[in-house]
Amino acid sequence: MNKKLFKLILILFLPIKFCFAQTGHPILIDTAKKFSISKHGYFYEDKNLNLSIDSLINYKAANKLIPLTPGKVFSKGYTESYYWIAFDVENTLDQAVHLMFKEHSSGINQLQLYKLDHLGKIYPFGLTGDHFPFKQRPYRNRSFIYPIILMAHEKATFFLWADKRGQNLYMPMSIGRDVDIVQAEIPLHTLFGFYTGVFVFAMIFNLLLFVSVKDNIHLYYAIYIFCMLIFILEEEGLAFQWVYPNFPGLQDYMRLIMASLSCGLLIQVMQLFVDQNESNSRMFRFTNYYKRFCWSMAIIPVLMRFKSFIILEKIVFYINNFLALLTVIVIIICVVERIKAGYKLGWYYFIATVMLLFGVFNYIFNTLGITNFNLLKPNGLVVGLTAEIIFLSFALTQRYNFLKKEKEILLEEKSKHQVDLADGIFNAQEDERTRLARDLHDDLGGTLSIIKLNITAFQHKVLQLTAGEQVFYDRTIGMIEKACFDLREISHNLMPKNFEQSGLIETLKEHFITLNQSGKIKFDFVFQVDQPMESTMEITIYRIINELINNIIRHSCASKATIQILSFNERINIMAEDNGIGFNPDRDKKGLGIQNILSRVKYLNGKIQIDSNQNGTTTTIDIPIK
Amino acid sequence: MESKEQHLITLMIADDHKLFAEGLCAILSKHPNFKIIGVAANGKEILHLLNHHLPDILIIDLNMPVLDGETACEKIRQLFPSVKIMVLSMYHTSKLATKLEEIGVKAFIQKDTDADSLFKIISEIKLGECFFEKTKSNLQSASNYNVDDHFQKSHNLTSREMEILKLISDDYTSQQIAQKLFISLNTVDTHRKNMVQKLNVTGKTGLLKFALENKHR
Repeated sequence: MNKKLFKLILILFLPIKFCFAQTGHPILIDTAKKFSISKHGYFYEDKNLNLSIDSLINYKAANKLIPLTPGKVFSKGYTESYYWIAFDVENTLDQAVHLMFKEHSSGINQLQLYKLDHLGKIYPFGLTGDHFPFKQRPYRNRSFIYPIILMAHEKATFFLWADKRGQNLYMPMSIGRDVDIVQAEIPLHTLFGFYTGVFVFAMIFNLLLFVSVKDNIHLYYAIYIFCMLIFILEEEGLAFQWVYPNFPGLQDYMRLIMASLSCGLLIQVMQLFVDQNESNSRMFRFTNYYKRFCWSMAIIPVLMRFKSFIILEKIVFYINNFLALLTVIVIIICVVERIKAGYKLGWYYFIATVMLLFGVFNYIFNTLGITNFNLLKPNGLVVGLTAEIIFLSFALTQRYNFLKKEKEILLEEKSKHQVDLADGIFNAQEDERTRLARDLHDDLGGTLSIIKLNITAFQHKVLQLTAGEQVFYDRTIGMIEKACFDLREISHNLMPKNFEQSGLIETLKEHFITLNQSGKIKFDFVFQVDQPMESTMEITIYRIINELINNIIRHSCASKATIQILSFNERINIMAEDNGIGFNPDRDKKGLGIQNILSRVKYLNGKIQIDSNQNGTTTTIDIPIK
Repeated sequence: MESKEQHLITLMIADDHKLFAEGLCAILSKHPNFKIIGVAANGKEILHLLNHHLPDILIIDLNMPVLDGETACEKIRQLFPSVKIMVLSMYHTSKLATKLEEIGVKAFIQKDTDADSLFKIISEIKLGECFFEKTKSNLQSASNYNVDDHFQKSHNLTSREMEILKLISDDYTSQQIAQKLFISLNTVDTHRKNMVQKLNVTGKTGLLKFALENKHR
């Protein structure tokens, strides 16, 4: 009974209490665009996490709320409590006004606005915060906005409940006309839209490069750009709105994760870009450790999602700021080291990093509260990053050109080396043949000659021998003569005597004379060579022709053959024709003779064409003159 | 006794092939008419020996270290013109023969001759004869060819090219020539190009013109 009466009295007196207790100066809504809350509002810390809106109404009536510091952003640092904000509003105009309450940080976990009208009726404005999906917001914006309508001359009190437990509470608030609040968003959205476009383009560009050139550096760089994009968007609450609106809570530590990740990634990209390794850099070990440290730092915020406390929070915050600065400095040192070592491409990276350096310094000094100005809009970091990303994407394509050129040079050297090697083998082969031919001819030939002389010196005694012995004696002499002839033939084939002095044509001429005397095939030799040939080419052509002749003699069953050598301005044409039985060049290619011809033609970069049928074979070889 | 001395032909041998030099020495010294008065292993050594004694005939090899036979021959011809030089070598080309003859060498003989001819040649050189084995190459040039052949040779053409030229003059296309001669079109083209180069005419029309002009040769 008493209780009921008390309540009744309480309700009756409540509006009256408003007038006296903590209702001194409501925000007077006039034609202005924006109204300050800090000059008119109060706050209350709910340490026990058990207060309801009703209790707050009572506390306000009981003067238990603490006034906000005028002109200062509501900031309470790391907190484990709920906070309540309360402020009175009075519409002084004769018409209804459309207002908006805006919380700027866009990082409050849970948020709810209540309206208490002059009749004491409570209107909850909906629960929101970044622990709820984006679509639950009363007004779909990157920050938390509550649309409010006040009737003509309406008075009301607003209570805001905010939960930012386990984190740093920093809550700039404002109230203003809806049109102006929304309009203020436009330039910011435009600016971030532009920068996002640049970042996304650079990211896709690098991803495509990765797909086409299969170079990991582009993948790392694309991921880096992605991380930085999320980082700068998250700061304004845009990442949540644009990228993951249905994953509330994700953004709590997103910026810390992205910052650490991108530091590591940037180091990785730098190492690949300037080709830093154990052998060319004293910084290599350190940067490797540092890179891994950055990546492990990215895991800590993930763990903090589950359990966090103030010291860890602070440590991670400072380490992250420090990490960004240190990363840029480490990169500059590494790049300068490589530039000093003569890696010119490093200049690109150096310039890109210096661009970033200004942005990072500006941003971090602002975050740490050392400075409070932005070099460029929206902030130094975004502009610095954009400049870095554009320039480095360009540098990456330059690097590709550079590597391509280097590869070409390497390939050229390699092919030159191979040619040298082939030259070496050919020359060694020819030298060996020359030596063999000489040894055979001079030494063995001399010995055979003297044997013949010795034996024939007995000739006058032959008359004393029996008829049988005489035949034997003559046959022996015949054998020695045969041996002498064979020897001459063999050594001539190995290396025609005086080839270098006589030259290709003279040697061939003599060769054909002997062939025509001894063989069944009539050889015709036609030549028209105007300019002198290089000696290697000459001996190789001689070998080719010799092999062609051998093939004709051994396999063609021809009665006539023509060998022709013609020199043109830029090539030498060799043609061997016979009227033999022909062969199948595809099937008989494995023959040693053909193989010898093919490998020598290839060695001289020539082309060979074999036109063969049962009426004869024509082999045409074209050899370019160097 | 004196007459015997007169008959005796003094010889020197220069050859780096030791076995050959020794063997030759042995064979020649067995012969009653020859007397070996020196053996050298190269051109330089023989020049030294010649400073002391002069033989009637010097038997010299061409291919020797330090100072080769050819150069040695030239020097000996200048310094000791009375010495008759006989080159005994493994090599024999007509070109070399001509060159040695110009230098003034009396004989150019291959090493693998039999002993009797060798003895005979040495004796005859002493009497002032010369010996240069005429190689067969000179015979070649004497081969007879008719007018047709002359045309072909003077233009440096092959017989296949003659055939093609004739077909060109008969208005055959390359395709038809290829079929007729059982060769590929490519080969015909190569022949055409080669003839254009050799005959110094320009292109297909130049070749056709040449073919027509020389049709009845």
